[in-house]
Amino acid sequence: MNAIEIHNLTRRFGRTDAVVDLSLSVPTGGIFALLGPNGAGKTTTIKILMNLISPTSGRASVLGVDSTRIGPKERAQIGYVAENQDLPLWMSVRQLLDYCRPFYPSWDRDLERALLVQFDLPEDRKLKNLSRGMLMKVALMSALSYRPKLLVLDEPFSGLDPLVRDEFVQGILEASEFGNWTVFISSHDIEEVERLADHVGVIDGGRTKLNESAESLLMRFRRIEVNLQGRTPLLEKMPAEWLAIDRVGTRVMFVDSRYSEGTAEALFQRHFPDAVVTSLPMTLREISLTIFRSGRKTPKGITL
Amino acid sequence: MRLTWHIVGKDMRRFWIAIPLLVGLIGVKLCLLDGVFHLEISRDMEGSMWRYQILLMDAVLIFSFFVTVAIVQEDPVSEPGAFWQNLPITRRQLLGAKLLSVTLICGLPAVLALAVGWLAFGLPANRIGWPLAVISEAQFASCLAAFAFGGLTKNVAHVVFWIIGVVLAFFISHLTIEPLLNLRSLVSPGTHFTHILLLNFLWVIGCLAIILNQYLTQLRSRSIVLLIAGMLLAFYVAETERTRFSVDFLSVLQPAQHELDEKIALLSADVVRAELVKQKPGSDATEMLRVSVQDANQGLIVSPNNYVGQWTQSGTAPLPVSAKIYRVRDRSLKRAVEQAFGFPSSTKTNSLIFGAESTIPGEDAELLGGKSAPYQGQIDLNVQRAVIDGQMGLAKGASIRSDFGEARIKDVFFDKSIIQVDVESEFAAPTHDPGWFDSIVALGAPRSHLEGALVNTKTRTVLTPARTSTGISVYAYGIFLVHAKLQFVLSQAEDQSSSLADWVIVEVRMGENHRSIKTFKEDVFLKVVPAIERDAAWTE
Repeated sequence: MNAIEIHNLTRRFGRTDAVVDLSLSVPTGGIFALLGPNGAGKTTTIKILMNLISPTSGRASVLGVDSTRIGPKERAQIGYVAENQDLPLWMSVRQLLDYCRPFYPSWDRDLERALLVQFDLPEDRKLKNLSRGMLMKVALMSALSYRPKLLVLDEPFSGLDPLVRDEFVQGILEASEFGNWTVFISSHDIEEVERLADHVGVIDGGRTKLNESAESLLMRFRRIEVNLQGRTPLLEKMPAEWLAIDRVGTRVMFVDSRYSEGTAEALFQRHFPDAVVTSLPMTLREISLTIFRSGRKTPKGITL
Repeated sequence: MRLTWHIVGKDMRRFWIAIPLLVGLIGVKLCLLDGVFHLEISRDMEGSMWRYQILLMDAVLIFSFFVTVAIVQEDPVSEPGAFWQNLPITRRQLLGAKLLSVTLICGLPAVLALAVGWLAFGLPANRIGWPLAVISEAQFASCLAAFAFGGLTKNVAHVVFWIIGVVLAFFISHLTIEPLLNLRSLVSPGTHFTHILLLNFLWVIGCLAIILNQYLTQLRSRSIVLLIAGMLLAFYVAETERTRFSVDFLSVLQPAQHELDEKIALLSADVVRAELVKQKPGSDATEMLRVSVQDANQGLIVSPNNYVGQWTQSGTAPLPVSAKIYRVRDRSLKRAVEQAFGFPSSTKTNSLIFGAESTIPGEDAELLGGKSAPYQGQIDLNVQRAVIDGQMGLAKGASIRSDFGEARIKDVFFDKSIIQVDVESEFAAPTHDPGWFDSIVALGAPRSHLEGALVNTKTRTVLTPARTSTGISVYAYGIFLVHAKLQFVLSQAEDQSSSLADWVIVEVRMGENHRSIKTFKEDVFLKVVPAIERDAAWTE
């Protein structure tokens, strides 16, 4: 069973479509990264999943329960940390933990103590006196201490400096050793997520662009460079899976989104006979940017 | 329930400071009220204590309002993202917790104030506890509105913004819609009391609807629709108590009052003259003060404020002497009614006679008695339009329903020289005064609110109540109940020819400060007038 299932989800705010016909599935276990630029619909999707807002149409289920029916019982199994998380700033770290504990029957005092040490949080300091990074750690800690089956992180790196980001990512990785939970993390900060994600979903303009494992994604996306050795390239009738096609002199560069050793070589030979073809692996960031750009209007002066 | 109390505990830790502050405010208010009623203090001090306890009541209400807003916004429900939404609790649990928190933090202090009063000062609950019902009632209304506004908004600034918006909406509607409807505020088909009850009901139901919707659903827009619908209903209810009244005298009164505006502008300080006259030398300690106001006779009522302050003997330093005065008789009421009915006025001067209360301390009484040199003082006079609420025939069971309540004739006696009308009135008086009290009133109804006058439609004469009229007024939580025996002395001519069917009794509203057209604060000179000047109607 998938931890999260989203089918044809649409959410409209007035005349604005925040999420349009979105479908995603998040496998149980591991870390799923939902990537997308600002305004892509990530936060709206998460709010629907957490039953904080209702979908206009479509449906989503979390841990096997319809998102619109998520109640206290389900919420006790979901940890949720959001960007600009509202915390009771008048409390100290200790008071916050004492306040949260009775709400969760599964609260693990040993894990709480271990996380306090790991995150290096000052127990007696008021939350209003903590830095933003520390506040995020407190929020993460209060969400982990009851061993949720699903941890939902909405833009957790937003506004954090590189050092704190690194600590935070490290914290998530180390915390994952304490339990076997599914982590659903949304971010526009692809570089940080790259270190974490097992599975990737990409949305843009509220629509699904991609939903597969990071491993498969890295395997099938390749940056291709073709050296035509003095001849002028003919860029007509190129396959649809070749994205971001560019030409510099007698060289052609593009991203093959269906790269597979063997079949790809034959295809290159058919389009560029006698050319020297080089294929290079891509990072998740490069892949995402290619997808976002290919989905938008082609700039003037470039012919695909 | 355990989790609900857990949230209440958190709120109590957060807002505990509000409890001692409210205990202090309520405690001081109760002590001031107790002082007013049980301590032997000067009138000045009594007045100050009364004013301060009203201010403290306002402070309690405002403080409770903003504490409630803070409690509600500690866990806001106006939009997603609040910390409580991460917790495994239902919206119903949160609502229950917030209701309990507000009840405990805003309601507990009243009980604690009683306990402190008893333990520290030996004041038992039956002595200082009686205003608590009113405090709780007002707090309930204030906190309910705060709960609704707090639930709709994110912070205190938003709440203030919303309140200003709501008040402005009412004000603008009042300014723009009411003139279009051409409503007159003189008469209403229903009582103000009924409308007050209806508005209170709307207040409670409206706030509860917004609170329940805001907490139990995610539809904030529906809450806003409920708020607007509630406001429209309240506006409708407030406006429908005023409707066109078809009695002829209004058409007479209306143009006359336009003319009066110009005349009133010409009124100046030197038209006010006062002189002290003795009504019954040697038999009555009450001293009469006659004030004449020239050129203010048409449709106007001139009335004094309660206190005469700073009376000084001429040529000496000021002496802080105050004396409570009340209106015994003046012709402005009579003239106002005559004007309203289009009867001819006999004189252009309004003569008012006020009684300086006989219970003033002896020293002050001597001063006012004018046994030595003339005295100079200051007197506050209000000049007001007569507002005639309606009329009724002199028949048992006849009634007048006005903006503020209802007056009903219980019985009528007519012995050819005196007409006595037993009237029972019930009307609402929006006020801070808590609890209940009763008093005997001189003219059958509290001077500042209502007066009755008798009009003979055949002979076109107007009589105002004789001094022998009596009444008892009972005040309880904003409602006055008045039982009055109004006596009207007939002149010899009327005595011969009158029958009850010729007379109607009209109810005139007067004395409310906000209706003042002009307020005098004038120096007046008192002097002894050796002869008694009696009004014909006085000679009972």
